[in-house]
Amino acid sequence: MVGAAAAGDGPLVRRAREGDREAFGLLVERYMRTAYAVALSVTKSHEDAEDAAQEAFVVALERLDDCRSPEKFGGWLLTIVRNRARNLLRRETIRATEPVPESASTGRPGPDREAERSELRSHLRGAIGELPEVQRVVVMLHDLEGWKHREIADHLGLPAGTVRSHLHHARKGLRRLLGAALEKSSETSV
Amino acid sequence: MRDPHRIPLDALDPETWEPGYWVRFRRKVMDRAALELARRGRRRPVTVSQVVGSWARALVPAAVVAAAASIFLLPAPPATGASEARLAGIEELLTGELEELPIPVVLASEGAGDEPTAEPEIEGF
Repeated sequence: MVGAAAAGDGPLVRRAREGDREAFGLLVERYMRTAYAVALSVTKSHEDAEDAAQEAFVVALERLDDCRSPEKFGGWLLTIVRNRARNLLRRETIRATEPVPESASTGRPGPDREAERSELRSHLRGAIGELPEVQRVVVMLHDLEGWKHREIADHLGLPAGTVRSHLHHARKGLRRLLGAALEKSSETSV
Repeated sequence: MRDPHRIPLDALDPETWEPGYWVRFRRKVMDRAALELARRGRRRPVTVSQVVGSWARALVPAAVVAAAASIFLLPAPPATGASEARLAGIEELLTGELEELPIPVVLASEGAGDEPTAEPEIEGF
Protein backbone atom coordinates (compact mmCIF):
# COMPACT_ATOMS: atom_id res chain seq x y z
CA MET A 1 0.00 0.00 0.00
CA VAL A 2 2.14 2.86 -1.30
CA GLY A 3 -0.18 5.65 -0.11
CA ALA A 4 -0.18 4.51 3.50
CA ALA A 5 3.57 3.88 3.49
CA ALA A 6 4.24 7.36 2.13
CA ALA A 7 1.79 9.01 4.54
CA GLY A 8 3.04 11.22 7.34
CA ASP A 9 2.95 9.99 10.91
CA GLY A 10 -0.31 11.81 11.70
CA PRO A 11 -2.72 9.69 9.60
CA LEU A 12 -0.95 6.48 10.66
CA VAL A 13 -1.18 7.39 14.34
CA ARG A 14 -4.89 8.18 14.02
CA ARG A 15 -5.51 4.84 12.32
CA ALA A 16 -3.40 2.97 14.88
CA ARG A 17 -5.49 4.57 17.64
CA GLU A 18 -8.47 2.73 16.19
CA GLY A 19 -6.58 -0.55 16.24
CA ASP A 20 -5.44 -0.56 12.61
CA ARG A 21 -2.72 -3.22 12.51
CA GLU A 22 -1.30 -2.16 9.17
CA ALA A 23 -0.89 1.47 10.26
CA PHE A 24 0.87 0.50 13.47
CA GLY A 25 3.08 -1.91 11.52
CA LEU A 26 4.17 0.92 9.23
CA LEU A 27 5.06 3.08 12.23
CA VAL A 28 7.12 0.23 13.67
CA GLU A 29 8.90 -0.26 10.35
CA ARG A 30 9.58 3.46 10.07
CA TYR A 31 11.10 3.89 13.52
CA MET A 32 12.45 0.50 14.61
CA ARG A 33 16.05 1.17 13.54
CA THR A 34 16.09 4.62 15.11
CA ALA A 35 14.47 3.31 18.29
CA TYR A 36 17.12 0.60 18.51
CA ALA A 37 19.94 3.09 17.87
CA VAL A 38 18.70 5.43 20.59
CA ALA A 39 18.22 2.53 23.02
CA LEU A 40 21.70 1.24 22.20
CA SER A 41 23.20 4.65 22.83
CA VAL A 42 21.70 4.55 26.33
CA THR A 43 22.14 0.91 27.30
CA LYS A 44 25.33 0.14 25.33
CA SER A 45 24.10 -3.44 25.14
CA HIS A 46 22.47 -5.11 22.12
CA GLU A 47 20.04 -7.23 24.14
CA ASP A 48 18.97 -4.38 26.38
CA ALA A 49 18.59 -2.05 23.40
CA GLU A 50 16.38 -4.61 21.67
CA ASP A 51 14.24 -5.10 24.79
CA ALA A 52 13.91 -1.38 25.42
CA ALA A 53 13.03 -0.56 21.81
CA GLN A 54 10.41 -3.32 21.55
CA GLU A 55 8.90 -2.45 24.90
CA ALA A 56 8.79 1.22 23.91
CA PHE A 57 6.65 0.45 20.86
CA VAL A 58 4.13 -1.47 22.96
CA VAL A 59 4.04 1.27 25.61
CA ALA A 60 3.65 3.90 22.87
CA LEU A 61 0.66 2.02 21.47
CA GLU A 62 -0.94 1.76 24.91
CA ARG A 63 -0.45 5.50 25.45
CA LEU A 64 -1.19 6.58 21.88
CA ASP A 65 -4.11 8.73 23.02
CA ASP A 66 -1.62 10.86 25.00
CA CYS A 67 0.36 11.71 21.85
CA ARG A 68 -0.89 15.29 21.43
CA SER A 69 0.82 15.92 18.09
CA PRO A 70 0.49 12.79 15.94
CA GLU A 71 2.67 14.44 13.29
CA LYS A 72 5.52 14.45 15.81
CA PHE A 73 5.09 10.81 16.74
CA GLY A 74 8.79 10.08 16.08
CA GLY A 75 10.10 12.47 18.71
CA TRP A 76 7.45 11.36 21.19
CA LEU A 77 8.30 7.69 20.64
CA LEU A 78 12.04 8.26 21.05
CA THR A 79 11.44 9.97 24.38
CA ILE A 80 9.66 6.78 25.50
CA VAL A 81 12.57 4.72 24.11
CA ARG A 82 15.11 6.69 26.12
CA ASN A 83 13.04 6.43 29.29
CA ARG A 84 12.54 2.68 28.87
CA ALA A 85 16.25 2.22 28.17
CA ARG A 86 17.21 4.19 31.27
CA ASN A 87 14.76 2.19 33.40
CA LEU A 88 16.19 -1.03 32.01
CA LEU A 89 19.69 0.17 32.74
CA ARG A 90 18.74 0.90 36.34
CA ARG A 91 17.35 -2.62 36.69
CA GLU A 92 20.43 -4.05 35.02
CA THR A 93 22.79 -2.49 37.54
CA ILE A 94 21.67 -5.00 40.14
CA ARG A 95 22.63 -7.99 38.02
CA ALA A 96 25.58 -8.69 35.81
CA THR A 97 24.88 -8.42 32.09
CA GLU A 98 25.71 -11.23 29.75
CA PRO A 99 28.39 -10.38 27.18
CA VAL A 100 27.00 -9.55 23.76
CA PRO A 101 27.28 -12.42 21.30
CA GLU A 102 29.76 -11.07 18.83
CA SER A 103 28.98 -13.44 16.02
CA ALA A 104 25.63 -15.13 15.65
CA SER A 105 25.52 -15.55 11.91
CA THR A 106 26.87 -18.59 10.15
CA GLY A 107 28.92 -18.61 7.03
CA ARG A 108 27.48 -15.72 5.04
CA PRO A 109 30.35 -13.23 4.66
CA GLY A 110 33.11 -15.72 5.39
CA PRO A 111 34.83 -16.33 8.70
CA ASP A 112 37.66 -13.80 8.20
CA ARG A 113 35.35 -11.00 7.19
CA GLU A 114 32.98 -11.84 10.00
CA ALA A 115 35.81 -11.86 12.50
CA GLU A 116 36.87 -8.39 11.30
CA ARG A 117 33.34 -7.06 11.63
CA SER A 118 33.00 -8.58 15.04
CA GLU A 119 36.22 -6.94 16.14
CA LEU A 120 35.15 -3.57 14.76
CA ARG A 121 31.76 -3.90 16.42
CA SER A 122 33.44 -4.59 19.70
CA HIS A 123 35.73 -1.57 19.29
CA LEU A 124 32.81 0.67 18.30
CA ARG A 125 30.71 -0.37 21.27
CA GLY A 126 33.59 0.21 23.61
CA ALA A 127 34.38 3.62 22.16
CA ILE A 128 30.78 4.81 22.02
CA GLY A 129 30.35 3.71 25.60
CA GLU A 130 33.03 6.21 26.58
CA LEU A 131 31.04 9.18 25.24
CA PRO A 132 28.49 11.15 27.24
CA GLU A 133 24.90 9.99 26.56
CA VAL A 134 23.86 13.05 24.59
CA GLN A 135 26.87 12.66 22.26
CA ARG A 136 26.09 8.96 21.83
CA VAL A 137 22.51 9.70 20.82
CA VAL A 138 23.55 12.48 18.44
CA VAL A 139 26.24 10.48 16.68
CA MET A 140 24.06 7.35 16.42
CA LEU A 141 21.11 9.27 14.99
CA HIS A 142 23.30 11.19 12.57
CA ASP A 143 25.93 8.69 11.44
CA LEU A 144 23.98 5.44 11.77
CA GLU A 145 20.37 6.51 11.11
CA GLY A 146 21.07 9.43 8.79
CA TRP A 147 19.00 12.01 10.66
CA LYS A 148 19.64 15.67 9.89
CA HIS A 149 20.86 18.16 12.50
CA ARG A 150 17.49 19.88 12.52
CA GLU A 151 15.62 16.61 13.13
CA ILE A 152 17.91 15.66 16.00
CA ALA A 153 17.60 19.15 17.44
CA ASP A 154 13.79 18.92 17.32
CA HIS A 155 13.81 15.53 18.97
CA LEU A 156 16.25 16.41 21.74
CA GLY A 157 14.89 19.92 22.25
CA LEU A 158 18.31 21.45 21.60
CA PRO A 159 19.42 24.25 19.28
CA ALA A 160 20.78 22.95 15.97
CA GLY A 161 24.16 24.57 16.75
CA THR A 162 24.43 22.57 19.96
CA VAL A 163 23.67 19.37 18.05
CA ARG A 164 26.49 20.20 15.59
CA SER A 165 28.82 20.77 18.50
CA HIS A 166 27.87 17.45 20.15
CA LEU A 167 28.36 15.66 16.85
CA HIS A 168 31.77 17.25 16.35
CA HIS A 169 32.95 16.26 19.84
CA ALA A 170 31.49 12.75 19.52
CA ARG A 171 33.31 12.14 16.24
CA LYS A 172 36.54 13.56 17.60
CA GLY A 173 36.27 11.30 20.64
CA LEU A 174 35.50 8.22 18.55
CA ARG A 175 38.45 8.87 16.23
CA ARG A 176 40.74 9.20 19.17
CA LEU A 177 39.39 6.05 20.87
CA LEU A 178 39.14 3.92 17.75
CA GLY A 179 42.35 5.06 16.09
CA ALA A 180 43.78 2.27 14.00
CA ALA A 181 40.61 0.17 14.05
CA LEU A 182 38.72 2.93 12.27
CA GLU A 183 41.41 3.31 9.59
CA LYS A 184 41.44 -0.43 9.04
CA SER A 185 37.65 -0.46 8.74
CA SER A 186 37.61 2.35 6.16
CA GLU A 187 40.27 0.53 4.13
CA THR A 188 38.29 -2.73 4.05
CA SER A 189 34.99 -1.04 3.30
CA VAL A 190 36.34 0.74 0.18
CA MET B 1 26.28 13.44 -0.92
CA ARG B 2 27.99 11.33 1.70
CA ASP B 3 29.39 13.18 4.70
CA PRO B 4 33.21 12.70 4.59
CA HIS B 5 33.45 13.12 8.37
CA ARG B 6 30.88 10.43 9.07
CA ILE B 7 31.98 7.65 11.44
CA PRO B 8 31.14 4.25 9.90
CA LEU B 9 28.80 2.87 12.54
CA ASP B 10 27.13 0.38 10.20
CA ALA B 11 28.73 -2.49 12.08
CA LEU B 12 26.39 -1.71 14.98
CA ASP B 13 23.35 -2.54 12.83
CA PRO B 14 22.24 -6.04 14.00
CA GLU B 15 21.30 -6.93 10.43
CA THR B 16 25.03 -7.10 9.62
CA TRP B 17 25.61 -10.07 11.92
CA GLU B 18 22.06 -11.45 12.10
CA PRO B 19 20.36 -11.57 8.69
CA GLY B 20 16.59 -11.01 8.82
CA TYR B 21 16.95 -9.26 12.18
CA TRP B 22 14.58 -6.37 11.39
CA VAL B 23 11.88 -8.65 10.01
CA ARG B 24 11.96 -10.62 13.25
CA PHE B 25 12.10 -7.45 15.32
CA ARG B 26 8.96 -6.12 13.64
CA ARG B 27 7.17 -9.45 14.04
CA LYS B 28 7.99 -9.57 17.76
CA VAL B 29 6.65 -6.04 18.29
CA MET B 30 3.47 -6.83 16.36
CA ASP B 31 2.95 -10.00 18.42
CA ARG B 32 3.37 -8.07 21.66
CA ALA B 33 1.02 -5.36 20.42
CA ALA B 34 -1.70 -7.75 19.21
CA LEU B 35 -3.84 -7.58 22.37
CA GLU B 36 -3.77 -3.80 22.54
CA LEU B 37 -4.58 -3.49 18.84
CA ALA B 38 -7.55 -5.85 19.29
CA ARG B 39 -8.76 -3.84 22.29
CA ARG B 40 -8.56 -0.63 20.31
CA GLY B 41 -10.38 -2.23 17.40
CA ARG B 42 -13.27 -3.21 19.68
CA ARG B 43 -13.73 0.26 21.15
CA ARG B 44 -13.80 1.92 17.73
CA PRO B 45 -16.50 4.67 17.81
CA VAL B 46 -19.78 3.71 16.09
CA THR B 47 -21.72 5.98 13.77
CA VAL B 48 -25.45 6.80 14.03
CA SER B 49 -26.22 4.74 10.93
CA GLN B 50 -24.39 1.74 12.44
CA VAL B 51 -26.47 2.03 15.62
CA VAL B 52 -29.72 2.33 13.62
CA GLY B 53 -28.64 -0.55 11.44
CA SER B 54 -27.91 -2.78 14.42
CA TRP B 55 -31.31 -1.95 15.95
CA ALA B 56 -33.04 -2.57 12.64
CA ARG B 57 -31.43 -5.98 12.32
CA ALA B 58 -33.02 -7.07 15.61
CA LEU B 59 -36.25 -5.10 15.49
CA VAL B 60 -37.52 -5.73 11.98
CA PRO B 61 -37.81 -9.53 12.33
CA ALA B 62 -39.31 -9.12 15.81
CA ALA B 63 -41.93 -6.73 14.46
CA VAL B 64 -42.80 -9.14 11.66
CA VAL B 65 -43.24 -12.01 14.12
CA ALA B 66 -45.35 -9.85 16.43
CA ALA B 67 -47.58 -8.77 13.57
CA ALA B 68 -48.08 -12.36 12.43
CA ALA B 69 -48.85 -13.53 15.96
CA SER B 70 -51.37 -10.75 16.51
CA ILE B 71 -53.45 -11.98 13.58
CA PHE B 72 -54.08 -15.26 15.37
CA LEU B 73 -54.01 -14.22 19.01
CA LEU B 74 -56.09 -11.03 19.20
CA PRO B 75 -59.95 -11.72 19.66
CA ALA B 76 -62.10 -11.06 16.61
CA PRO B 77 -64.36 -7.93 16.88
CA PRO B 78 -68.09 -8.69 17.63
CA ALA B 79 -70.60 -8.67 14.76
CA THR B 80 -72.44 -5.35 14.10
CA GLY B 81 -75.98 -6.93 14.55
CA ALA B 82 -75.26 -7.84 18.15
CA SER B 83 -74.24 -4.31 19.06
CA GLU B 84 -77.44 -2.93 17.59
CA ALA B 85 -79.45 -5.41 19.64
CA ARG B 86 -77.61 -4.37 22.77
CA LEU B 87 -78.37 -0.71 22.05
CA ALA B 88 -82.03 -1.51 21.50
CA GLY B 89 -82.19 -3.28 24.86
CA ILE B 90 -80.90 -0.19 26.64
CA GLU B 91 -83.54 1.94 24.95
CA GLU B 92 -86.29 -0.44 26.05
CA LEU B 93 -85.07 -0.31 29.62
CA LEU B 94 -85.23 3.45 29.61
CA THR B 95 -88.69 3.75 28.10
CA GLY B 96 -90.40 0.58 29.38
CA GLU B 97 -92.06 2.02 32.52
CA LEU B 98 -93.44 4.94 30.63
CA GLU B 99 -95.15 2.78 28.11
CA GLU B 100 -97.02 0.79 30.75
CA LEU B 101 -98.86 3.82 31.93
CA PRO B 102 -101.65 5.43 29.77
CA ILE B 103 -100.77 8.92 28.74
CA PRO B 104 -103.90 10.63 30.26
CA VAL B 105 -103.10 9.15 33.59
CA VAL B 106 -99.73 10.50 33.38
CA LEU B 107 -100.98 13.91 32.51
CA ALA B 108 -103.56 13.73 35.26
CA SER B 109 -101.02 12.84 37.83
CA GLU B 110 -98.83 15.63 36.66
CA GLY B 111 -101.69 18.17 36.81
CA ALA B 112 -103.18 17.10 40.14
CA GLY B 113 -103.41 19.95 42.64
CA ASP B 114 -102.48 22.57 40.14
CA GLU B 115 -105.93 23.52 38.91
CA PRO B 116 -109.07 23.97 41.04
CA THR B 117 -111.61 21.29 40.52
CA ALA B 118 -114.56 23.49 39.95
CA GLU B 119 -117.55 21.51 39.02
CA PRO B 120 -120.30 23.50 37.34
CA GLU B 121 -123.33 23.94 39.43
CA ILE B 122 -126.40 23.75 37.26
CA GLU B 123 -129.45 24.78 38.88
CA GLY B 124 -132.44 22.69 38.21
CA PHE B 125 -130.83 19.44 37.95
